[in-house]
Amino acid sequence: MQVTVPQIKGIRWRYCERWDEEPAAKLGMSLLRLGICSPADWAGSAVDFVERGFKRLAQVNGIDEVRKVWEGDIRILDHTFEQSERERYEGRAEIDNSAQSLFLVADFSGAASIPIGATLSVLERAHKRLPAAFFVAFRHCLAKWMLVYDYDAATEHAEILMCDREAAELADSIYPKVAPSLPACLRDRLTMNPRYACSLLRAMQPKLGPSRARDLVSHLLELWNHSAGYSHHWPHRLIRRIPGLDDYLEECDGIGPGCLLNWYENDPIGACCDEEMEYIGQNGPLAPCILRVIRLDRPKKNLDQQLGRLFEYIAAMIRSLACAAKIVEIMRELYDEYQRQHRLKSGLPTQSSTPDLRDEQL
Amino acid sequence: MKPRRKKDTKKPAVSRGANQHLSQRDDCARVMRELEAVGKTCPDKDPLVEQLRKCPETFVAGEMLGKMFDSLKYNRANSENDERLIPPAGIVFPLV
Repeated sequence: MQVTVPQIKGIRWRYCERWDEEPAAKLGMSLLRLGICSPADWAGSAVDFVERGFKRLAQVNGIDEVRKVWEGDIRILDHTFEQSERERYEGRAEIDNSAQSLFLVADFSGAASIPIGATLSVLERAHKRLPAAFFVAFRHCLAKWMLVYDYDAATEHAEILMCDREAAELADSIYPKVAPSLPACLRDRLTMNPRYACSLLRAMQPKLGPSRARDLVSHLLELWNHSAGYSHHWPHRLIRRIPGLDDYLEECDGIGPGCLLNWYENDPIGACCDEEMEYIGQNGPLAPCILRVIRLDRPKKNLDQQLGRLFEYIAAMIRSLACAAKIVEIMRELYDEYQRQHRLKSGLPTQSSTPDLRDEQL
Repeated sequence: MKPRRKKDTKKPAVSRGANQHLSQRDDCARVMRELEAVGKTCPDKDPLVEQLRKCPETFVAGEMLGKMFDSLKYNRANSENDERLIPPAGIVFPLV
């Protein structure tokens, strides 16, 4: 049987609705003025136009490096809350005008595993105060872009769960092991001011010979520079500006962490994180990690300033995560070396990590 | 002193760099106009609508394909209550 389907020539593969195209066109005009989009990006759709500019910005700032370690999304949406396709269409049917606000939403779908224990030992051999300065500055920089699950988070979780339990009940539990797991080189130093930690790193860097320790400190100082002047835009910062956001965040079941910063894989911090991750999101949607609003109903100049700042924020986030990815890769190499040596010495087989915590995708 | 003959060099009125700059500015202005027109275009002037007007069978065929894809997407391929999809006579599936 011969089948013939009529063909319409010159039609694009993707068509977006008016509700998507109109806000994208406003955004696109501003991005064209700012030089983030170029005339060559235009192929007839405003959504595609913005997408091309956005992808190029991500590429230029190192998204490929970011994808090696971090798993998540940075998106521009016309809604803040999780909606089904049907809810979205019903919502649109009720309004005549297109969206006057867009949202920048960033979230992490998996926690990158960062076993820092072996790295701390390497840093300690270079200088006894280096591990604490490195740990504090690294955690401070990461926390500007993600929720970090670390020793403090695990300690809090363990303390809550140990509260009403008898000593006998806790004999085989992991919770009492969390607090003593803190390495000696960090004891009494976790409350160090991050700026002071950074100044220590700057002072120590020239004295370090060519080594992994020097590479780590150099990358960390670069990360510090990329993230300097930025702060974490938690969703609750917009509660007064977005109607209904307060109620939505009340219903949410937490925020997914971007990384697990523990000493070694399968240590008490990792066990607490696994336990918390098992239940997170069961009683509601996960709240976004970063939420920012774009007001499209502003005069041209104001909109350009607003978007200029926002896209510089996105670029800084990608540059910072790319730089942090380099640090994490060195840390993982050091950890793998530690594991090989440890296995040879002890004669015990090492356990592999949980796959979802060592997933290297974005 | 021997008078030096001035070289007869013909400079273009607008240099190549300036031409490129002008062309880029034109492109920017054109794309800006296109973006400004988004959402303001009259449906009658939409090229897609115009082509569908000339060939309404295409719309029927497209609608039919859409329903077929929907039935696959929502796993309703074997449902007995589905309406029967009939293509426009003699155009979409001409009999051999």
